[in-house]
Amino acid sequence: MQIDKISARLRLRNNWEAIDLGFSLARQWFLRLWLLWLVPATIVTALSLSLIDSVLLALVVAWWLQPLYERPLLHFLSRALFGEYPSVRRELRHYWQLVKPQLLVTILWRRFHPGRSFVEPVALLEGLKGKARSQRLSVLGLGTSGTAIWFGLLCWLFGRTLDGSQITLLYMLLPEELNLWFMENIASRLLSWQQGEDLHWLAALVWLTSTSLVAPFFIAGGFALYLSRRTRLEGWDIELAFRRMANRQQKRAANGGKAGAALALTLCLCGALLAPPAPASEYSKTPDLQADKTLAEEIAAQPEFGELETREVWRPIEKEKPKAERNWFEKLRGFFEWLEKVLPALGLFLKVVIVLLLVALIVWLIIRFTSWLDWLNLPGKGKRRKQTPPSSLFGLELGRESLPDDVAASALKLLENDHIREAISLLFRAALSHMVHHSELPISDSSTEGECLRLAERHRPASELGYFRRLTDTWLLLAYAHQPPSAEHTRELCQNWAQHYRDERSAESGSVS
Amino acid sequence: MIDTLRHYETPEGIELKLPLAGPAVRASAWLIDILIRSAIYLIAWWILSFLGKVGRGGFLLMAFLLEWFYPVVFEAIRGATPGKKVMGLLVCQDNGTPLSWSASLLRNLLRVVDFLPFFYGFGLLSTLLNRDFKRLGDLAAGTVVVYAPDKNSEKPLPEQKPLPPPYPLDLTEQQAITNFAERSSSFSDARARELASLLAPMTQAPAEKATNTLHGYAQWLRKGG
Repeated sequence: MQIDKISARLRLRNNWEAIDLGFSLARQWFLRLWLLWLVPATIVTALSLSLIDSVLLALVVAWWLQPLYERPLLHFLSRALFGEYPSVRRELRHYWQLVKPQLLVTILWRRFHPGRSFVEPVALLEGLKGKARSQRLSVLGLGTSGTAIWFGLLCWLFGRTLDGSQITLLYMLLPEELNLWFMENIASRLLSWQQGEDLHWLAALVWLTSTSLVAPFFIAGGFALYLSRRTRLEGWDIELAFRRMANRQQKRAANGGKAGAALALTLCLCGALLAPPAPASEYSKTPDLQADKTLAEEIAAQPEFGELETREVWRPIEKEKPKAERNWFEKLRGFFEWLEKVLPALGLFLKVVIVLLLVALIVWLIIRFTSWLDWLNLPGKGKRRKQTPPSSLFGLELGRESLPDDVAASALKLLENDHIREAISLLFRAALSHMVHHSELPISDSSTEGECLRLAERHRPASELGYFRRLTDTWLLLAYAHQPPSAEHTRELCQNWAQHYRDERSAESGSVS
Repeated sequence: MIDTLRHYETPEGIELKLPLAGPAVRASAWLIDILIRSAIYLIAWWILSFLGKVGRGGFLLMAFLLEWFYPVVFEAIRGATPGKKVMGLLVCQDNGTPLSWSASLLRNLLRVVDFLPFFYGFGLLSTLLNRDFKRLGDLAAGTVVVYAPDKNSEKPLPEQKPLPPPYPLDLTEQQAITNFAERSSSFSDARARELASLLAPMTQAPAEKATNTLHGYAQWLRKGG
């Protein structure tokens, strides 16, 4: 082993950092490590599946023999780390030699050691057996074996995560129609380990894929842990650094000549004898402080080191604060005393403010609520409030001033002049005006003819209503369907109008005039 | 040279080395966090079950917040969830600066993607493949998980009279000698002598005294003459 050929940086690492270094190593040589694991594992799995009837048993055998596939990886890593890259083919050719040492114990009880990737190098690389091995392990494992075991369990979990991921991914990529089929025929059978089916090939494939992916990292992680432990115990990193230092020293000596070295040696010896330390090395040469300082200033003045900048800013001249002589407790007490004086007044003020706010809120609510009522236009409640009567409905003027004094007579006159439309319009208009102004029906200015009729139904006596309905129907036919009523019908309407509306109308008009 | 350091050079020309943390230690930290959260859920369920339906609603709300924002808040404020703290980890930006809120939010909300298809399957593959052990959330947010620096890394040196080295040493050489002195107690005597004898051309001392000479150099380097 030549430490200076090592291809990983040697430094002190904690256990987890060491494992991470192993992961980096595994990633570096992943393809070879993966093949090295996969080839024997595939052969053994295929053999056991074809030789053993029970799928479960066959897979258990393949799983049990894992150390057989792992050992070549360890060998490869231990070579690759020191700059020798054995090919996969060569490793496989020497397969039996790599696997043979302490084979039986490895696949019997050591098989179940979760941290076996950390323990294995002692047997395989150092070739220790029995008591020597356990002593070595107790030294190496101090403060590390716990991490190694936990790391082994984690790797096992990683493998199972990848198992689950493969199955789930398969399920996710299937068309939705096949989901049920997949659950019934694959997932449930994989979980219940049914035998004698083709499915065991799938199970073996899934297991081989995930375990082969994890194995290089597991072995490399354990190996790196072993390496880091030895680096710590044997100071490999220091050895490497010291060798480099010695090389540099040799070059120095060759350059400087032997005389200088001898002088340095004598001076050094003198220094060791005389106390206080006499000038012994280049360190003790009196430095030329002034020259150094000017040099440093010259360097600092170069543009790379930035430049000096002068800025002017305004700042308030702060007044000197009177020194607080009371301590914080006094201050606190003063604060509370002040609070005591202020609080009642503050309370009263807040009370008044709150009462005012409350009153304002109530007033606002009343206004708001009543306007809502108005907006809702509830039939029963509209009566309660005085509504301003609309001045016109669907384009018809309703003001009293716009109507003639004797509506029926004017209408008859219009009829005789063959203005049927105007006559009916006048009658209807006057009837509506009457209802709005005299009977005070709550008709809003957005009502339609039908709504007026419905209101009348609710509030007017039956006789008047019958007339109003006929009038409305006539008006609707005339106005919208352009079907003029017969002259007879119009005349009858004109004559009856006064019956229902005239009396009150004339009485009112008397009072108005 | 294979190593797990991420190098970053600041504009001032200072090289930062971030010791990256891999999937194994991060999985352990995640498991610890899961344990902590489960304990909180158990206690909360027990307390809130006295409140009937309201309690159940409150529990669901709490579970939502805890599941999504537990790592976001802890990593943004303290740089590490309790689990990471226990494992000595720290999350930071790619350039070594503290984690920003947006990066924390991004890397932790993307756990959904890393979690696919089965308990961090994609996240595991990503950390195994990526040179900086980044999972997908880290790639998106531009963050790395590193080992938190050791605060009291200076260890005592063996007592020895300070001795100036015969010629000026560069930084790595000074570090190597100090390192040797700090760790001497963990080497066997034979190994310590073997190591010290490698520097025979420098110490000019017999093998028995070489160790002490190096300790003297280390004292001188740390404390001065």
